[in-house]
Amino acid sequence: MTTLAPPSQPLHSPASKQKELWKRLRKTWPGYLFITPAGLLITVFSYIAIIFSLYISFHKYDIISEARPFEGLENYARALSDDLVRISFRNTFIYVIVIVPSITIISLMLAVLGNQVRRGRALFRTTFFIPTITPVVVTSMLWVWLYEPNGGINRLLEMVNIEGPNWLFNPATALPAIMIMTIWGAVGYYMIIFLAGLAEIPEVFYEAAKVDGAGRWHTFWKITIPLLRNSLIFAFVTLTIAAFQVFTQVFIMTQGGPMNSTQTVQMVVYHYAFQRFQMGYASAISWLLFGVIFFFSALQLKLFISRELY
Amino acid sequence: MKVLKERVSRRDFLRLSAVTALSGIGASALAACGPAPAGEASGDMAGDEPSMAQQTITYWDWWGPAANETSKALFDRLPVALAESNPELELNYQNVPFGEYFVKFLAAHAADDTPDVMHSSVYWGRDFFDRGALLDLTPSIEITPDLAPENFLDGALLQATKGPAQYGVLGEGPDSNQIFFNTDLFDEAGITTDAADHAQWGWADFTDAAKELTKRDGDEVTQSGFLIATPTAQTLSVWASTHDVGFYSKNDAGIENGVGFNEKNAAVNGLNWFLDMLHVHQVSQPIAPERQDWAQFQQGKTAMASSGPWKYGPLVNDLPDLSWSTMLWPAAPVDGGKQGTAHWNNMLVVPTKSPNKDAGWSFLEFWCGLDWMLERFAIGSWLAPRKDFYETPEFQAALQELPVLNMVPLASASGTPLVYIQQSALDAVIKPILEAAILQELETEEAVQQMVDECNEIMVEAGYA
Repeated sequence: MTTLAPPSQPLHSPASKQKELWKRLRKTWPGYLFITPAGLLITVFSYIAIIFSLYISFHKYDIISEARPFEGLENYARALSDDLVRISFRNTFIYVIVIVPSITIISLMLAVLGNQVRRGRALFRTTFFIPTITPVVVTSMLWVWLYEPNGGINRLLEMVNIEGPNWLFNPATALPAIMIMTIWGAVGYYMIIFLAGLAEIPEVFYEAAKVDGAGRWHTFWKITIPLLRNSLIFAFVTLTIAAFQVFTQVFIMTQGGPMNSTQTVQMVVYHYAFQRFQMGYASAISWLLFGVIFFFSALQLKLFISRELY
Repeated sequence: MKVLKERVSRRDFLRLSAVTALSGIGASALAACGPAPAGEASGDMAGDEPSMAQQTITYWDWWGPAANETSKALFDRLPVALAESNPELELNYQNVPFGEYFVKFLAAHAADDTPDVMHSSVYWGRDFFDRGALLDLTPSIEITPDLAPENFLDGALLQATKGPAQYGVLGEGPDSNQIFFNTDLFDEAGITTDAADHAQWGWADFTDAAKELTKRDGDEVTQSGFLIATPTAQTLSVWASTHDVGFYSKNDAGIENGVGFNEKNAAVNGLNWFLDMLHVHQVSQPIAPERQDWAQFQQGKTAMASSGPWKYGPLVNDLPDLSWSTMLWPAAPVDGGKQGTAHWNNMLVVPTKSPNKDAGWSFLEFWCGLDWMLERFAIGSWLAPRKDFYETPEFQAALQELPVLNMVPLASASGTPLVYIQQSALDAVIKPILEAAILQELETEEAVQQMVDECNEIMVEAGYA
């Protein structure tokens, strides 16, 4: 008869776990020490600020006045019925809907093209990447000059007998003008992301497709796009988040005008916070924007990410 | 000699680096979070004689030495002149750019880290005072005869006072909106350049002159008679002034209780006047956010453009060959219409959280006194809001050389105060409505009514019902 003797020391007893933890900590504490400053800075300047903005969004808060009464959801209710907020969300949605696919498609095309360039590849990449490393303030000011009624763009249009509009003082063209500038400035960065993604695709897939007689278009859709999916998800999600937060170019180029046609949510937040002393209300609008961004980011991840691995 | 050959392991090196780095950061953080060092006492008597103790005074200004050579000369001279006048004060000057000034002050107030004294635009002075961020200086002014209200130009203090309280002392100005004109182009078109004639002009005379001065190549305006920009709250102040009404309405106690810029139909008339010049008479290049109005004036591409006295110096110094002068805005065609403008005087204020209010006041006394005003005039031709300044031989001599200087006190006396309560908020609601009117998407009357309603809402929110 055989009996199973109980082990004298349990394999995962609390004592051994603690010992293991200390052992690991003795090895890794310099690493934790190194990330502590960054962690502290992020905590103080991001997390605490974020939590504080949530707190003040329920209050009437103007920074200076001592009286800061609790207002519950009043700021949120007001935002939902505020015409300016409504207009800004509408403009921002239009901006996002145009910008995100446009930049993705154009930068993907450039990346595919750039990947095939044999001579002058570095020049090709540099040319498209330069706008990305130029500050948005600078590029915005340059484009403001180009958009002048007698500026470069209208002069070019004039050469093909088209009378250009007053780009930035026409409600129909002001937002598209900002979009064109943004697309021009951003495609270089995403082109580099896609180029990196393309470099990761093993050549063997293309060779196999060639042997099987697949055409270029078929190869692009059946091999390149599926294998670039991680890069595409990254581009889509980060672009969506950035596009919802558009501010600098609007602030420089149009200040939200003409007739609020380029007013975006971030501009409205700035307006209420720093022009009307309504920090609580501005925070509430910011949290509404956060909700929208969170929803769309989650939706994109849900739709695009699959467990299928390539 | 014994040489240490023991190798330091990678892990030990990392540990040592981490501890060193963290100690440094910790020490810096502690230093940054701690109270600012007090002004160091100098001299043996410093401890025993508080009145002689050296005090460091923190002063904020958006003007700074980096702006140009003249500003550099001014700010090089400032600490020296202050030390000569007030030996116990040592200047800690901090330049805060105009565009960030408002937000920086909000942050400084929230952090209890305001300067002792600062330059304040009329755009923010009242709003800060209303929220308790600025001191009422009336008690100090009452015991300082040199800074008594009667020593300043008539009407100049309107933006520094609220009822009986005075929260700012004028430290620069007087500024105003004036129409600069190119006298060569006027002569060429046969239009009078005589100031006495301009003083008699009404809007129709001005429009006629602008029409005469406009040159076209086909449909394109190659030389504007007058450059029309999108109207703003400042433009509304100008139109109100030419109707002899103010931007704000006031109650019997003299406290603002709403907007008054459309009394006598001033805003409707003004808007129609601009629309006529822009669309009917086409005296201006199209409005565009990027249009460089001042550059066009300097290049002779427009005969008239609006700006202010701060351009006198640069024009005289940088473009000596350009023949120019200025005029006030012509009288509106209504009963009581008069030559007018918008004027303003930025001020020095003492924050309520000023760490050293007495020193702040001492600096303010120095800055707003006649001596420093004359030094500023000598260094950079900056004018002054004090009455006695205009009687000095220095100003009289300059007037002989540049007669247009006479327009400065005249504008101050004729104008209405530029928007000074809730300026940003009012401008933000006014801008899109006026843009809609300019683009002819909204009828003039409807646009003005909408502006009045929305502006009054903002005034009520700000406590001016």
